[in-house]
Amino acid sequence: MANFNFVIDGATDMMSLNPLEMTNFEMMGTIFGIGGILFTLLLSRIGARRQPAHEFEARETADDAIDQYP
Amino acid sequence: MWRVIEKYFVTFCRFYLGGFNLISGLNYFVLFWPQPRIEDSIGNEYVLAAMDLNLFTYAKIFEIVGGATLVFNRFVPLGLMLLMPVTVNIFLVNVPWSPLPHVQLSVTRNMVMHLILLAAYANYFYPMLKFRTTPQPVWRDPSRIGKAL
Repeated sequence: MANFNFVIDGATDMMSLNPLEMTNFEMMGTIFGIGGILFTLLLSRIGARRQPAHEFEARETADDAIDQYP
Repeated sequence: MWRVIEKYFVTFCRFYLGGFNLISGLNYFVLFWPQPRIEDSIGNEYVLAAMDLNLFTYAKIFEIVGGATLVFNRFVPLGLMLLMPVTVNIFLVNVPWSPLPHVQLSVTRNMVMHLILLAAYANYFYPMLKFRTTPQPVWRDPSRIGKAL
């Protein structure tokens, strides 16, 4: 009979539909998933810090010159 | 906000499926944990025949290679294609026939995550939807492989 039990007893209840009741492989998938998100967050933080600040230059280029349009 | 949730959800799916398959494949050769027991079900003979034919070894190699591509975020579309036969086979053998609800849920979750990842990386698969095609054999210009990398 399927159930929603969750027990940390080193064994996996294969009748349980509780997502917290995990086999070794599911546990590794979850660890990789959460670890991967943390790693991605860390990379984006480092990337944002390394990105140079945008400096505005008050200079008109030929492409965006207003007087080229009639 | 939704874009951020979407991005991290896809990242979670990629790492989950990659980690699951990588460890499952490695466990076949290294044996961190005992291999999962085969329960009595109608699909047993199919699984046993696959083991006798050494098909499991090939499947586990695909799992390791495909899992590594997803975890390391390199050649992800290729990894998804390699893992597709494994995911589909496990899904079709277990969902209708496995007596264990936990296994049915687990393989369904993997299948759904796989489909989400295929949809997320759909831009790499659109060229396959070409209606009329002409061959461009790789042997005429092998350097295209290098250019594609």
